[in-house]
Amino acid sequence: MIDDDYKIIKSVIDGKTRDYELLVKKYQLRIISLCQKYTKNYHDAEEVSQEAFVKAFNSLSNFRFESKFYSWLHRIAINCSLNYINSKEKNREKETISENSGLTDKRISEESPDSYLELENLAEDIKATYDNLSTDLREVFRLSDIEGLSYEEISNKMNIPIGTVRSRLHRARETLLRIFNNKKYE
Amino acid sequence: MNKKIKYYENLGFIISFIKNEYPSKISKKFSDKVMNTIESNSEKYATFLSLNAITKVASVFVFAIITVYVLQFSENRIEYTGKSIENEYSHPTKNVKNESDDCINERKLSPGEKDTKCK
Repeated sequence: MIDDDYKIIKSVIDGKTRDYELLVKKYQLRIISLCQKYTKNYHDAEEVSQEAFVKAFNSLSNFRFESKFYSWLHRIAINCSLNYINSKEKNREKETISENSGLTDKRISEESPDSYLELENLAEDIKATYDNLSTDLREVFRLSDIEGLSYEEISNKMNIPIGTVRSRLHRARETLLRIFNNKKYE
Repeated sequence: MNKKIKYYENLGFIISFIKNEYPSKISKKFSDKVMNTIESNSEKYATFLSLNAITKVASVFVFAIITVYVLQFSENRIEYTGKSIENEYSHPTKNVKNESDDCINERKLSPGEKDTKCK
């Protein structure tokens, strides 16, 4: 997965801007969740996450391939969240003044409830499916996609050939993706 | 590409769920909004670059025209002559000593001061 990220970043730097969407899709939930811890509400978290992804894109040429892309993006998102908190405090002071003159600007979400995907039930189903995977499949999936280890590292750790790592990972992903797709459109 | 994007999105969802790092909901247009912002920024930057390039080329032309005009103007003012110019060198007849500032208002000074300042 880490190697995948590096390939995508190189392709984006080489001019294939649209490939960046793969990274956005992959990390959107984790970044929004991180920002929400700071902003305390979804709409602001979405806005801050959007800013973080755009900033990361603009600084992609400065990315050093020594660290994981997610760790780098995570730091950018935290900085954006802290900036948001600071600017919110300043805005609050201004709002206190404008409230007195009846000039408050309340933001209203333009999106209808249908344009959101509710995640709680979906997450519970996926977690249950993951827990029910065979130990071999679950362990390879955990080491690869959750911990971010390379095939070689997993092979050494579990004492199995790289080919077996690949096939187990493929089966684990396939099972989880099948359940996810079924539940997503229920 | 769409299939690949879908695959990454779904896998991203699964990883986030297992890691317990997900919000309660997500806008279906989130990634579109990010990509639209990036693309509109890129377009603005490209427009800025092309305008900048046009300005640079235009300024080079203007500078070249001004330079050519100035050169032609100065060439027209030069008058050539076939005669050699011979000026007699006039030696200064005597050295001139400037009055010091202190001595300018000589009349206002007392006799003692006049002697020291207007040597």
